[in-house]
Amino acid sequence: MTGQLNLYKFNEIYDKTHLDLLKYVVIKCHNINDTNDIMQETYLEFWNILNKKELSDINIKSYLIGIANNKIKKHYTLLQKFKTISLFETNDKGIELIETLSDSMNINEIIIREDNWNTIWKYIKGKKNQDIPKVFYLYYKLELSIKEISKELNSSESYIKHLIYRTLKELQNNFGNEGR
Amino acid sequence: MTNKEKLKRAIEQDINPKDYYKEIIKKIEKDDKMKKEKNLWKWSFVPICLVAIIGGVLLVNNNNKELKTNIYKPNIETKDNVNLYINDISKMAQDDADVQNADIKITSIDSIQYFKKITDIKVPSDFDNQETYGIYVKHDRDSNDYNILQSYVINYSNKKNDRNIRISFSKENKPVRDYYFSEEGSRMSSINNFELKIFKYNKLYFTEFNYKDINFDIETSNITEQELTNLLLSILK
Repeated sequence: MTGQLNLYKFNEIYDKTHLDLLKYVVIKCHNINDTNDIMQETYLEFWNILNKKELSDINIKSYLIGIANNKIKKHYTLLQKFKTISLFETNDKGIELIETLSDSMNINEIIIREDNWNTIWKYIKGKKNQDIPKVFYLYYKLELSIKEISKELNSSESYIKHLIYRTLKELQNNFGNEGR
Repeated sequence: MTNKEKLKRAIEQDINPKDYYKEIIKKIEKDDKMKKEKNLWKWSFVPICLVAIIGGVLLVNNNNKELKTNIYKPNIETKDNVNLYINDISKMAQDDADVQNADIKITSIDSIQYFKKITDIKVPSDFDNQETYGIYVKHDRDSNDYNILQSYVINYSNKKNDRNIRISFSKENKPVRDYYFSEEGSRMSSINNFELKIFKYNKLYFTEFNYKDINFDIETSNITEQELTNLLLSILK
């Protein structure tokens, strides 16, 4: 029964924290494909701690973020960090590109030849610049604004726009009527 | 459905908290099972040896005799109105205890209407933690809603020393348990002329009774026989 009581506490904490923690892990991880693993590892460690310690006087969300941070650090070797380093920097070139693309690109206007959005998401996740799937997750799943995403990723708004519109153009070319 | 909605759905299918929550729970249950088996092995090692030795002796003496509950009187400050017998089942075979996973939902609650009747419960002074829960069950097996209040639980503890008293009670139902064992050959105790059976398994004491139309189920861990007696005296007035 004690185990069940702890499980009840765990579930309660999980319900309250997992969406915020997921957002944090998506932003901080080096590869979005590792999100599920890091989330699992974080909550499993938290479960073990919950069974050993009294956690009543702490900020649970901050505590979980601390665990997630350690898991992210452990998850990546130094080599992997270099491999997935961003190729796109925040610079003026991005702004120039946006000016030519911004008004002409809307995801709902893309005519997708192959109506398989799981394949398209897989394509986005496979991008070498992992800022791209992160931005897509934050923009299309969590529906954050460009401004909010730029703050979360510590990048300029033009860089975020650039990633979205450039990738949408790629989707149009590769999966649209004229592509592939 | 728009492209935006389709992409959102594809992302949700891929990064899905429900999926990894299921994985987390699976791993928790697996770890828990392994720990239980480890603990069971650790705690049962001595009884197993004793059972083996006693079993050997019994086999020599009488092949048909079974290992019975060990009944003893606890070494406590006795009062005239207290006549206790502890039915120690620590040495009984594991198969005698039926462990079940109750399908329940536990919800934290602030107060219990008829709790006043049992507010003078005497727990050891070092117990610094108290939690109150409602145990809910489904109205039928196929339902997803745990909407039937089965019983209440008040859990007193000293987590630092792993000492615990769990009092489950209900006016309408017998509180759910996650284990059952044979009461065959056990002996009644008496407190203030009220009869009840007290069982012991290693460092755990259990008892259940109906008092003032309330069904009680009490489970303690790492408390002394004197502390158990004081607790029962505070309920069975």
